[in-house]
This record gives sequence, structure tokens and C-alpha cells, in this order.
Amino acid sequence: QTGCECFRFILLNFLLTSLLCIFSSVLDEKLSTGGALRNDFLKELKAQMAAMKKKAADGLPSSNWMPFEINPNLPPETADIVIVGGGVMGWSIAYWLKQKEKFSKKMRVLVVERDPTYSQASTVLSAGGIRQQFSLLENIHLSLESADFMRNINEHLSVVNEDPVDLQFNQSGYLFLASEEVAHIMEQNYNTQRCAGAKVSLFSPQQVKEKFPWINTEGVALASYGLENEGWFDPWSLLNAFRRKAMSMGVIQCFGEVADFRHVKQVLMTKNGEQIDMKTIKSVKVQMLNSLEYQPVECALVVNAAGAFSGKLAKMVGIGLGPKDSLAGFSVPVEPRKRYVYVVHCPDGPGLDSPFLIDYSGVYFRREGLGGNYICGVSPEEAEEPDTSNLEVDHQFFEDKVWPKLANRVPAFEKLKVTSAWAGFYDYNTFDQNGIIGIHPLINNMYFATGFSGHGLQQSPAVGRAVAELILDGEFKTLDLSGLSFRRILTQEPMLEQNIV
Amino acid sequence: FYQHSVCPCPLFIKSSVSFQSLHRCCQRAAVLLVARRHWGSSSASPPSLVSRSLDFLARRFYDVEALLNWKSRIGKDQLRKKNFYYGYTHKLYGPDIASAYYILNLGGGFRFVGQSEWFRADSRGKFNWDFLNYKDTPVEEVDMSHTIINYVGLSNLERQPLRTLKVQGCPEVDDWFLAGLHKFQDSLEELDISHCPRITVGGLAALRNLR
Repeated sequence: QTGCECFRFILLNFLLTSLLCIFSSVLDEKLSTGGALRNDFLKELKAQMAAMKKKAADGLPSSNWMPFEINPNLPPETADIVIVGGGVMGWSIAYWLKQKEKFSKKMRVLVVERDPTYSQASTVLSAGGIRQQFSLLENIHLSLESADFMRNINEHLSVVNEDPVDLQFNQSGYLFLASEEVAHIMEQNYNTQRCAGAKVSLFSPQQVKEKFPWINTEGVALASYGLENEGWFDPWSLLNAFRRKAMSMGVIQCFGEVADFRHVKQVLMTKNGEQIDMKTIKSVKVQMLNSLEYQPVECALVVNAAGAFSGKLAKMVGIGLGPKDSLAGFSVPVEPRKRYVYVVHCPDGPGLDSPFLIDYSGVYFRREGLGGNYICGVSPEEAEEPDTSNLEVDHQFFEDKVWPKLANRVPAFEKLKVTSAWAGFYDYNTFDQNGIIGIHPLINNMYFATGFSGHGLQQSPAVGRAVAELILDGEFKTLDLSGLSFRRILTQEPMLEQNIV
Repeated sequence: FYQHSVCPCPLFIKSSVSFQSLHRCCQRAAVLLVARRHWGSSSASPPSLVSRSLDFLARRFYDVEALLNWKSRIGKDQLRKKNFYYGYTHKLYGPDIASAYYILNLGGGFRFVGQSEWFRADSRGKFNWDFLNYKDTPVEEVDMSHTIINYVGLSNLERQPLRTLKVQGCPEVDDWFLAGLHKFQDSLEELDISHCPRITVGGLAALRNLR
């Protein structure tokens, strides 16, 4: 019925428009010299006819008009892979999924992000450094591969007709200082790093003093310096590059919060008679921002890249809610930890050659720009972790914990002014401070890529590729990251990283 | 990249355009697709008519976009092939001859340690094969100005105790190339990186490694 009416309306409109076009063109030619009032009337009439034409065009089948309003921001009703979390990790996974399955238009990937302003996301609040000086071989390889990716970033992430990607990469290198007690650990790490292919060199205190005369080398027994593939860059550019490229390849972005999962349970019995529930997620309930509207998205796989909030997300599926000593009792050990970053201005500070200096006490600083600004901070002790309900900055923390050690290490920093500060969350892995990559043993289709505790950004390109390989090929092809899977949490064998900042 | 043969007639269009104008457009496109490599719009000068029209077409026709992608990929492949690691030459003749061969292939010039004459390739790419006589002499001074040397190509010059390196006006020398120069930190005395458009401040920080 509506179709019939529409058709009649369109026909009528067409006739009227054509008549008016002929009429007005004839009239315009004749009235070109005078008749201002009649011209105005004609113009108004023309505008109204244009509006009617538009309405008629909307009525045609190929337009987007619907008689009842639908929220255009809703995610699709079905998707093959839902990635929860729109930080650099989530978008890296989305990009690599599409990159590996280039010719298949059939795979629908949806990235759900709950904050379009990214105000609390760890990605954008990070200091943006990349280093290879880790103690765990997997971490070193991840960083090396990510640096390779960033070196050729325009080969990977450039989009036709758009500007090339500029990461503003500062090729400066990290300088780790070690005291007597930890010098032997640093030597061991140096050997591992060299074997893995990282370009690092060890310095004695005299060499450090020679190269960087503004450092006070008191208490330093050994220093480890990165020569290449280390430095810092702009995390927002990397995130946007991944996002732009992934969306150009067809990844769907949705701003909403994952409120619930609908899953089915399969009960298995072990030999000892213990019951294990295997869950399969059937759909994800995505709630729109600031509204009660929601859309259940049926999916085949879910990837948890929610960063600091991954533990909370895992609880929604029921991980960790079983009895304490059973398999179901192991929760995902990722929780948010607040870290402060202070921007200071020091006119006489170290110059262009200053590396990302990390002292053995945990205090770090790096140059920011060319105007004598520096970024510094420290990781607080376990016992004094700040409250994670908000991102308020504690300035007293700078006065008590950061400044004294910083001024001790770099005497020029005795005179400085704090110009700004911010706080961000680490997606802290309370178990062993290393990433968790892989599928959960109790949930058939939930993959995890979280818990990187401060070095997620620098490993994101390589981790994205690893997760894409795991999903599409079923196993790791380029880098073997099976050491970072869930297995170590269930068997309680931590793979500790000794170089966490 | 569509898996059908790219023929001008049935163009796959992105928005509705009448078939007549389509046909005319694609004929014009075939003519316009003569030119240079399609890069982003980050050049200082305003984009030329050619690149603007290519942009316009690529926005509307999938095939034009695919052709442009193909063209830039060919350009990148050529770059990669030229800067490949000369492993075969390395195995047969040793690292010094391999580096020398690489430099001459790219159109640069070099001088051996202890010799005073420079070996260069002329503007047509032809060079003298006399350098093969000097086995086991490392290369001391290298002039790769206006060549397409890049980070990967630098690995071909690895074991040479370079004292002078000139990469003036090289379009592919960027910050990562400068970071890779740390291999020559003990021997390098002169470095010329003027007129390299892709170097930024971040790369200059890498020069702290050189003494």
C-alpha cells in the first residue's frame, strides 16, 4: 500500500518537477532584466520543489530512509569476530585479521569501544616508548618485530589518497642503570638480548659519564644502552593509523559498552568425577552510550583486548567465579593500576642526545620535544598502589618519590617546574607482569590479548599479528608465543619479567 | 585488488554515474595513468592536475584505485629489489666486493682503502668492472648521493670501515637509516645528509651514537 502511494507520489512529483523546470527556465530567460519580486517567488518555489524531490528520492528503494527511526550507531546484528576494546591492541588485531584474510569479504569484524574520546584508555595516556631490553625472550622478539613494523609502517598502514602515517618516532634509545646488586642480572639480560638480535651495548660508569656528562654516576655499576630500534613515538598516531587502515579494509567500529554475554554451557566430567563447565559465547550484548538501548550481536569469536578492564569483562562470562581450588576458580589476573606521569620543564636539562633514562630505583624520564620539557615518573611500591577509581593525579607523590631520586641522578633537575601531569592505567598482570595471549581453557571462543603491564603499546603490532594467526591459522606462525598462554596461570608457573618499569 | 582482468569498458563504479560519462572517463583515465608514482598528498607544492584527477577518479572507481595501488606496489618492489642483501655476491667474492658491487649498481661511487681513485657508475648505470681486481680491500669512502639507498640497503655496507658517507638528496633515507648508522660509529668521520626530505628531528637524535 505504501509502495503504491509512494509510486503515485513519485510520478506526480516527477511531472510537477519537469513542468516547473521548463516553466522556470522559460520564465527566467524572459524575466532576466526585471521582475525582482516574481524572481524571489520563483526561487522559493524552486527550493520547495527541490525539497519535495529529495523526499521523493528518499522514498525510492535505494535510499536510507526508514519510516521509524533507527539508531545508526548500533552494531550489526551478527558479526564473525567481536573485538572488545578499541585501544591499539584491539585495532592491531582487527587490522591483522583483515590483512591475513584479504580476499574474503565474508568475515565481519566488529570493534567495540566504550569511550569515543579515549579519555581513560591506556594507549593514549602512555609515555609511548619502545625498547628491546627485556629479560624474557618472547618480549624481546615482540618488540623487535614491532619495531620492524613501525619502520615500514607506510608499507603496511598507508591508505590510498590519505596522508602517509607519521609516528614522530624519536630514535633515542633506552639507558638502564644498574647498581651492584642487580648488575649480574643486567649482564644475563644483555646476553639474552644480544642472542635474540637486539642491538644493545653495555657501558661502564666511566663510559656513561663520557657519553652523557650530565648524569651523576654515583652508585651505578653497569649500564645497558639501546643503539637501535628503541625510542619513543606518538601512540595516538599509531592507534589512528591502525584504525584508519582497518576501517578502509572493512572493519566495523561501534561505540558502546559490552554489558553481558549470552553463552551456552557444556558439562564435562573428568576422571576424578570433577565437573568442568565449558562455555561457548553465543552473543555479546552491546549497550549504547548513555542510553538503555542495546543490541545483541551474535558472534563466532570474541577477543578480549579491553586492557585494564579485561578482568572485569572476563568475570561477565563467569571466569573466576567457580570454587577456589577448581579450574573455574582461576580468574584472569589483570587489574588496573594507576601510574602518574609528570611533565616538567627544566631549561638547563640534557639536550637532544638524552635517552630514555631508567634508574635502578625505578625512576624514569625522557625528553619531550625540543623546548626543555621532560616526562618523568616512577612505579609505586606494591604496598602503596594508588586508588584506581579515578585518574586524579597526586602531586605530592612527585615531591616525595620522583624528584629526590631524579635530582640525585641528574643534578640539572634540581631546578625544575612541573608544568603538567596525567595518570593512566596499566593493564597490570598481577601474576607475572607479562602479557596473556591465547584462548581461555574453559571458554571455547574467547581469545585474550591483555595484561601487558605497561609494555602493551610497544608490542601491539606483533601481538596483533600473533592473535590473528592464532585465530585464522590455529597456531602461531611467525613468533612462538605459546609461553605467554593461559597455561602458565593454571599451572602457576610465572614467567617473570625482571625489567618492568 | 580484483581478480578479474582490468579492462576499461565495464568499470566497477562506487557511486551512480551514467554509462556514457563512465566510458568517457575511463578513456581519459587510461591516458592520465601515464605518470609518476602515486604518493600521499603531503608534498609541499599543491598537487598537480595529474595527481588531483587521479585522486578524483580513484575515489569513484574501484578499478582506478586498484591500478594506482598496483603502480605504487611495483615502485616499492623495484626499490626493494635494488636494496636487497647481496648474499650471492657476498658468498662468491667476499663482503668488500659485494658492497662495491651494490654501490655501483645503485649509481653511487666509492673509494677503496689505500687507493686514490674513485669508482663510479655513469649516468646510464654502466660501470667499470676493474674493481673486481681489488679483492679484500675494504671500502673507505662512499658517495651515494641521489640514489635510492634505504635502511635495508645499509646492511650491504655493513662490514666496511667507512670514513665518509654522503647521502645527499636521497629520497629513501629516513630516521631509521640514521639509527642504523650506529654500525659505523667507530670509523665514520664525515656524514652528509643534506637535502634528504624524510629526515626529522627524531632521526637527528640517533646521531648521538656517532663519535
